[in-house]
Amino acid sequence: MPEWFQRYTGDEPHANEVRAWHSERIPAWLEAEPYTFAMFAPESADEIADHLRLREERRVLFSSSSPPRYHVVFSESSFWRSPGGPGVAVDQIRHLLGLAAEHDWLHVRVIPFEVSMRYSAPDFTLMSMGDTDYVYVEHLNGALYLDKPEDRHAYEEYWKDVVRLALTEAGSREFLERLVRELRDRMSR
Amino acid sequence: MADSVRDEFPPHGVDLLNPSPARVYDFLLGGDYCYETDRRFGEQALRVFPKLRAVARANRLFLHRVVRYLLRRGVRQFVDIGAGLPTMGHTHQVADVFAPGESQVVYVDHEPVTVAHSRVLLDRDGDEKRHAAVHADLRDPDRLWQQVAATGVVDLDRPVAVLLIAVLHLRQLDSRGVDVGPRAVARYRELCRPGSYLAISHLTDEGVPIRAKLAAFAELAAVWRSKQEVEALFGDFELVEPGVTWTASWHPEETVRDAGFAVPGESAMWAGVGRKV
Ligand SMILES: C[S@@+](CC[C@H](N)C(=O)[O-])C[C@H]1O[C@@H](n2cnc3c(N)ncnc32)[C@H](O)[C@@H]1O
Repeated sequence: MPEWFQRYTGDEPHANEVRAWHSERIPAWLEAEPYTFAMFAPESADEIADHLRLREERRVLFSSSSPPRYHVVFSESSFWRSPGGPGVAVDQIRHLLGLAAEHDWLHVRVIPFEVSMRYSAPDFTLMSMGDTDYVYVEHLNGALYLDKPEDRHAYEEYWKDVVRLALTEAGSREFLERLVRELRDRMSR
Repeated sequence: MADSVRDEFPPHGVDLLNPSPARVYDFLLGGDYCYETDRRFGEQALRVFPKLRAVARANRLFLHRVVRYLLRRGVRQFVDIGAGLPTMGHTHQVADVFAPGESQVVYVDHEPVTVAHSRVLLDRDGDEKRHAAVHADLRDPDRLWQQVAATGVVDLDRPVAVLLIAVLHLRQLDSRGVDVGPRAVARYRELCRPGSYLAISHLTDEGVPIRAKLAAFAELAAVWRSKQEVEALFGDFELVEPGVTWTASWHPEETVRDAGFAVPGESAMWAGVGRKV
């Protein structure tokens, strides 16, 4: 695990609340197994086993006794932009729906394509630790931990837009179930 | 799967586009290791042959009974070839319930994701001195045998049980397109010491017209062997009671109260255990 990722993963289980916006991808801890494989294309049984082990490590929240309230809002794009094609996208969406149904602290919502957005920001995560709050922003080769009040304020404001535009949880579930049917239809054709 | 990959023994990489036998079987058993391609394939196959779930289940329960039967007969070493995904009880788990800490199990499969899952499961509830999962191909018996020996988990100079459960009906083609399954089994019979056992289960359409129903599924790549042909796979090994029979009829006293079959032939698989004398 890269060093710049460690503080984030260390904090996550202790946070009170986490709010994340994902415009184009699925975060590691919510990835379905074939999604991970499509992304990294491991070759040998050893490499594959290492990915499975790493995947378990990233999923610690699901076995935590006091997980944070976790809100994730996805742009519809995250599901279409799936590595490995529509079959993997279907696996990914079903996996996500399963997790959300099983864990009441996990709240998943979607902003469909047809909703117009002023601006689609790169992915970020608002981390509320109680004492130290920060915004986590990943780039291709590292991550930023923004804790200055004015930075946090900008992201808090953006988050307000995100939740205003997103479908409700129930609406998001229906939307994703419809998307699964649509992707499956495409595969049959 | 690209043809160049198919020719590799064993294949590497993760094939996300085609159904895999290991994962389709997992789907039929109600496991959660399967992907969308496997689920689709499985659902289609179930539409034309709804008993397929019961067929898979009867086979898995046959495997469990074989393991306990062999333990009762003093066998402690297992080489599980075409072991598949750890759904509904893997061989070492069944063995450790019956005879805790006594047996050694080497899992072999040529599908790397399957091997990786067995390894991850063994991290959790295996014992590295007694269990291993090897990525090898049954079509290359001598190399497979070497790889199994190299784990140090089993001693191949002593009797072992070779399990070939629900794998030989998957077409075992060599680079010239010849099914080398029977030839490979003959080599395993030679390689193992007297006192060793061989357990086989194998799809057939002698009980019910499953072949005709599943004919449209080219991906299934199945060979349908008759009872005689399955018996021939045991060569000069002595078949234990009751000989080659339906999976559900092989020592049913233990687990098969109601397998869900109107007639045992619906289990669509021949099964037997032989001993090298
Ligand atoms: C239907 S599953 C059976 C699993 C398990 N033996 C059982 O009966 O419950 C067949 C397995 O055989 C494996 N297999 C097929 N051909 C193989 C080969 N040439 N070498 C090794 N494994 C193979 C597949 O990858 C799959 O995991």
